[in-house]
Amino acid sequence: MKYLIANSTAEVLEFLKEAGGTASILAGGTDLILDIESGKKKADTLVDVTRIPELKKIEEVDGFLEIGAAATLTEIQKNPLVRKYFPSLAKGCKTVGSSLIQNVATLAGNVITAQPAADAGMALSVLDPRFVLVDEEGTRECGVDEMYAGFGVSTLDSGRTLMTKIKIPLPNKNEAASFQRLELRKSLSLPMLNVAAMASIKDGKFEWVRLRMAPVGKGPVRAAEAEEWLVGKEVSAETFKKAGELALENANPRSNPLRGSKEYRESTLPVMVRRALLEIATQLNVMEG
Amino acid sequence: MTKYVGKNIPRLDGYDKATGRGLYTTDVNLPHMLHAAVLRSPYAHAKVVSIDVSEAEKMDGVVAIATRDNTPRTYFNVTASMILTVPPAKPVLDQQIFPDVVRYIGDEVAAVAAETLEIAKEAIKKIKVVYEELPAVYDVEEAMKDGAPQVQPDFSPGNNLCGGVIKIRQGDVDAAWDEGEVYAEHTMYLPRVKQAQLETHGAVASYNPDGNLKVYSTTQTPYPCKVIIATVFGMPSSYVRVKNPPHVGGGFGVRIGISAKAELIASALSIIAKRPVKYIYSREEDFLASDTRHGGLIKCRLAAKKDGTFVALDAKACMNTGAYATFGPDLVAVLGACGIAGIYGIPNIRYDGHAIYTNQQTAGAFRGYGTPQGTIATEMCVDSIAKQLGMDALELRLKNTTRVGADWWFPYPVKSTYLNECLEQCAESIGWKEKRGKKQTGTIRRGVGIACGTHVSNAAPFCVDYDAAYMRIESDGTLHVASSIPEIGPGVTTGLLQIAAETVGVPLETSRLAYGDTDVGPFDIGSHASRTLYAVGHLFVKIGKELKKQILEWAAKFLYVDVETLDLVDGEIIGSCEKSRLCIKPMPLGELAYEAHLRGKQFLVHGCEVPPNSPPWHAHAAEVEVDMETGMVKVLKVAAAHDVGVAINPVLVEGQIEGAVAMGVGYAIREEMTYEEGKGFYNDSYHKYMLPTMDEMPEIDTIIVDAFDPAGPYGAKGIGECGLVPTAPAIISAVEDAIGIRFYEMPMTPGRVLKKIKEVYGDDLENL
Repeated sequence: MKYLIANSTAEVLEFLKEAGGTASILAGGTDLILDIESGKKKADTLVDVTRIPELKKIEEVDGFLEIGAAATLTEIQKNPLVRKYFPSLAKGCKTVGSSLIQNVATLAGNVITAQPAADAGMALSVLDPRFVLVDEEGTRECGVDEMYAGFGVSTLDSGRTLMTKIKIPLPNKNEAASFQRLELRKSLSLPMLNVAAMASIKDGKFEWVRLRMAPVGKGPVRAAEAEEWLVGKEVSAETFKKAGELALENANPRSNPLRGSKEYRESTLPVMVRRALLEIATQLNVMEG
Repeated sequence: MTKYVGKNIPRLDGYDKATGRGLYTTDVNLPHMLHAAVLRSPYAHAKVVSIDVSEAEKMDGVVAIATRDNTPRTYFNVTASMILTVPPAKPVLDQQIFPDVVRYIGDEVAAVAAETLEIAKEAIKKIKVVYEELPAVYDVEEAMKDGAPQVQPDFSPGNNLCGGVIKIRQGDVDAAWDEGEVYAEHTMYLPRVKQAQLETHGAVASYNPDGNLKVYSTTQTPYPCKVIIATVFGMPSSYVRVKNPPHVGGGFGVRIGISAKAELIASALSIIAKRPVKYIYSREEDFLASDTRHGGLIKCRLAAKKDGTFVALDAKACMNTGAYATFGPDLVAVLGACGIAGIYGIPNIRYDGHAIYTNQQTAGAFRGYGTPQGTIATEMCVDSIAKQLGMDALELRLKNTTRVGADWWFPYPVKSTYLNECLEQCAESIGWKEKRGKKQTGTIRRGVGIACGTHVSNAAPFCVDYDAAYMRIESDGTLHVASSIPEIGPGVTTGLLQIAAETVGVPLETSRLAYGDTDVGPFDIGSHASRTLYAVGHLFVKIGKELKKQILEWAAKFLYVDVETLDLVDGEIIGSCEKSRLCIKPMPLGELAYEAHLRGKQFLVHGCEVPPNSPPWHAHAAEVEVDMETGMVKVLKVAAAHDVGVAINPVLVEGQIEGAVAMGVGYAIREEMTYEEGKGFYNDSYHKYMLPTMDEMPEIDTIIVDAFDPAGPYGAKGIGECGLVPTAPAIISAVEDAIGIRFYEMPMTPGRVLKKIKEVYGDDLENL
């Protein structure tokens, strides 16, 4: 196996082209290396993108927060801009694996590995992120739903395409986001459930809500029924409750011998949704937590 | 005043461990060493019809393949029970290195030694095995039914009862039962849990064609390990040497005897290859193919008077011991003795213990050795009596605990107990009076609970249990002690050297204990049963005094003074000017020892003894928080009060308690091994097994009560296992206090808890 260290985006594309699709981009490698060892994934060449300066940047640009694809979860959760605009994203990044994992793993990787319960990717999913992708054809932007092809399967072919950065529109004053995690262990453990929400509240009512949940299907699953119903509804405990019940309409959790039965996950998903909405209302000082 | 005993001496292996210099079995690499991998059964129960190794043999780098066809067929037991069972009881020897019938998913079928581990792993895939599947049984209650599939027809013909029914009798339960005025009766269902010690099982065996076999090993009992290896291979015991490297990454009971089959498989391959062979269990193998704690069920009932006096206790345990006996029968005995019969002064006790064979991996020793399970059952009945009588659960316990000189079932006396002090001090720490029984409302509810227990300070006289050791003074006056005990992590080798130096009267700084090697010290049963500091300490006091006497007698002759006028203090011979006609100057022991050396004399003693036994006592109080909507239980605090007699090294005792409480918390609310039929246990790694991490740890208030035991060395008793004995029942009790629901099934995972909450409170949990 070849291990190549790229110094620029152009060099990455060059390496990928040379390998003719048999290479894989490596950032943190916390999943990829294990998958290669266990034979789940194959790659003749690994292209290390962690030393490309532009991929490490976290900055505010024209109304967006831009997070470089090689920025680690630790760098993201500690970044003052992330903490200022998106505390829920910092929270999500902080719950992936353990500190040791977070020191090398990336947010981009958390999306591309496409595990349904990936905490950082979940927290990100409701922030209306745009993923900037580069390949031989050029540069394009993708939304969340275009990224997930299945359980643990991304639409992105990392033998051909490089994610360079994630752009997140900065929130307005009346907007906030939240992230809730139901867990058996704080570290080194996938969640039993996680729920992310973002909403705009005006005059005590929801203007719009983005609500996603996992692991209840492929990637971060949209609670579409709840989202639609919530528009224009008063911010109240009753509203949260109804939204929690509606979220079940789009959720199809499976039983896991360790992380909860289908029945348990269905019982607690509405609770997590309520708590996610309450967290937003609390942040915006509409309700007391 | 003592100079070393009772002091927080930093552990002597601390530097090695903190800097990473310390050698563990996995670090041992010998010239020409091969690496081993093992082929394991994919079936829970099957006859091995044939094994074809021809394809594997052809691979480059494969040096030796071991199967039932070229290894000893000797029956054995991987645990030390093989050599420590007291007649007329006989050990159950139901294991072979590679059996003809595989009895659980993971049972050993063949092993390969190759130039690299990768080649060995590839080679085992090429071994072709024909199996003939047999009916299997997994559940204890199913396995006890007539007509259930037979797991060990040669060893328990007609049923699945391993080693017979273990009976404990005191008084007459049937006759006394009607004297009761209030009764509790419940069944507790307990999970199978794993030791999950940091270092997996492993061995590096080096067979020399001259007949000598040297084995580096992770065992927590080097000497019994050596005897088992010699027996299985039919070698002279004197030719077998077992050595810890010297560090061992935890034991918790999982390697009392040999380390699963690591030493035997590495040795078998080394004998064939005539080269050293290293076999280190993967984490998956360690989780799925070595002893666990026993799960199962315990039916327990308790009769009491209206004033709270306990009249009779009646219990029956049916524990899942898996495919082979290992420690099953011995363990259900301790479950009954310490967990059921020991804690309270009850005139009438009946206990029947059953270790039940099933087609699952073996269950054996795990810190507490049955005592935690028995204690949970007893304490569930005690709490129930308290509730029925409207009596404070603390008061009820204080009234009934075992007292000094009690007429109890055990064959040795209670010379000391400070259990009531433990109960009172942990209750005080948790805020028992203010918090217990306070009505809780809303989503997040808090409660406090309490539980107590006892255990042993070694296994005598229930098992063969003794120690032998040497002590000598080097010609420069320094103390050298030799014992074959291991150091599996508690710091016992530090504590023991404190005792030795204190007793002989020499500086600790220049004293040394050689350990963990059967070529270094004589027989020692090893580290189990919370025994090493207590039992070996007892021996060290005895022979330390003899050594001192020998030194002083020689010194008296050398100095022409009466021996009564001399003492050895801090490495100096001191003369008493009042008692002696000659007032001598203090003489360094080094000078005396060199004078002795010049005259052909080394101060040297040895000893061998069966220790006395002293029950340690302990009580924990826990505070928890329960989320009524998610069923999530959070342990906020555990106040852990222990009667360990005199703590030889208090900070090491605290370490033992804190580590054990972590295990107790996991046992109560998280840890469990889940069996999937056809696949085996789901929990094959740390990722799939919910050990608590530091994030989940509650505040722990460790309380070492002021105590002294007349039998123990310097007044000490055992501690190693005790710290988790009352943890889980205290947490169960606290959950009941918080939400009014008693759990008769563990662990209290969110799913299990929420289900019960819904049964009791209904589905609408938002507005409680």
